[in-house]
Amino acid sequence: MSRGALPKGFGELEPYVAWALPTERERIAMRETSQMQDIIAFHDAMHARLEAIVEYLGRGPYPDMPDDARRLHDMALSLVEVSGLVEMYKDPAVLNMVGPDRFVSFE
Amino acid sequence: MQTRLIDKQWTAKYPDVGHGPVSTEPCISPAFFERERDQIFRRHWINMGRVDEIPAAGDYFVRDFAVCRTSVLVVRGRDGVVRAFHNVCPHRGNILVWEERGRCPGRFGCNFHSWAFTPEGELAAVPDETNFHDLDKSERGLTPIHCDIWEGFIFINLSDEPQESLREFLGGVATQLDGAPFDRMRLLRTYKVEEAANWKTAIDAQNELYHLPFQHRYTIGDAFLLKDGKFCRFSDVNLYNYHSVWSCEWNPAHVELPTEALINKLDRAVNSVRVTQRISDFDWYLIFPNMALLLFAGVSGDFFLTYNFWPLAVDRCIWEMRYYFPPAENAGQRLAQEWSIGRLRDTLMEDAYAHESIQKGLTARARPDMVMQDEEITIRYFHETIEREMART
Repeated sequence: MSRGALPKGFGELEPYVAWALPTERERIAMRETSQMQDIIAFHDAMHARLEAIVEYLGRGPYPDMPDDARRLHDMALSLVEVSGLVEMYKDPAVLNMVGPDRFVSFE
Repeated sequence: MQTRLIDKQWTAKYPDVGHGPVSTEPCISPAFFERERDQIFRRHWINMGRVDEIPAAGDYFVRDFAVCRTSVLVVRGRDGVVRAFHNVCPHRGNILVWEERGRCPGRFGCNFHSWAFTPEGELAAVPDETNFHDLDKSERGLTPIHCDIWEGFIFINLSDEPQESLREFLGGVATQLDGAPFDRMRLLRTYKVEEAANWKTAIDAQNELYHLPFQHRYTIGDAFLLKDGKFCRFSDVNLYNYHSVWSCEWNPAHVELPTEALINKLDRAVNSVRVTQRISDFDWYLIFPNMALLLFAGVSGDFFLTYNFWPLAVDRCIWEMRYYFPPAENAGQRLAQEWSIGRLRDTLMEDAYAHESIQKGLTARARPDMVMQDEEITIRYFHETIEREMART
């Protein structure tokens, strides 16, 4: 994704725009195929700006919004997706779970 | 705090329920499963979905109700009435509608010979009609299934004549939840998992919180009030003629994770929905036979879930989970909703894994029985209700 994909003021999050995923299935797939260190880097960068992101999105229309705002919105949903792993489980192997290939999400 | 952190209080409230061992046979016997098809699933009211899935005239959805070998078509007529039919063409038995949901384009047409039906189930047109002998179209419409609605939840009953009305069947559940604002919420997420487990094994595993601090120690182990900081205690249990509900309080000592704390701080629901009919912070209803209704007091507003457990075989079922929230008005509210969904989802993925291992263990017949503590009383009551209904003539 090229520079300028996100609204002005959020430039330092541009390296993480691959996490701008609109569906849960895509966000889970991204989490499962990413290296833990990259997930942590994404998490930390987003966590630091989440309040500003919510405040920025709150100033514009909802749910319809321009593409650059939409990317920020979906990256915030991705933060939610990875937060349990980074902050609590720390290692996906500790969870005895039926995986998302069988536990299927529909939106 | 309404919860009494003591032992054996629910058996004291409901002494007739008893506290001895419970047979494992209903969860593992193929013969028992075969009898359940009619005794449990054909003679009671079964939830198929909600009215907001079919808001406009002609809207429909189809349920594969496998345990009764029936495909059910639920459709909103042009008169606004919601009806259920066997999804079968009355000509020679072909399945009529092959999509899971949609809007009827004027007529439902059978793939086989193009017989056409209105959204009200009437036979509208038969190609080459003059070549039939004494065909009375008014007697060849779609076969209706008894269908009724309570607070937006659509139920069907496959009996020729239901032994009680939907309202009589729901009983105390309806009394408790009449007027609850389900209609202000919308389906935001659905999950389906096909499991190698008996439908009752799956229900039993969800029908208690005793397991929470142990099985879910990495996910939501400390979410609800704990006795001595260790063991869950309900704040209330209520048993009805068929159904049951347990209730519990959020744990004020729960430690919020960093993102969780931030999201709760940023959640700004403008028009919050509060379900005043809630008994406590979290109510878990078993609506006999195969549905659960979960009501949650969220940080800035309430939400609910439904589980439907669809039996396929004695050791196979589909667990369907649906999450309902008020439509989010801003990003902060939407993030809080996604947090609730994801947190619960991971927990339920742990549960689904356990269902399959439990079924394996029961099938081995290592013991013919299970033993249950006081906080597992609604599981015992469910098994007693199953046995009572299986014995009915």
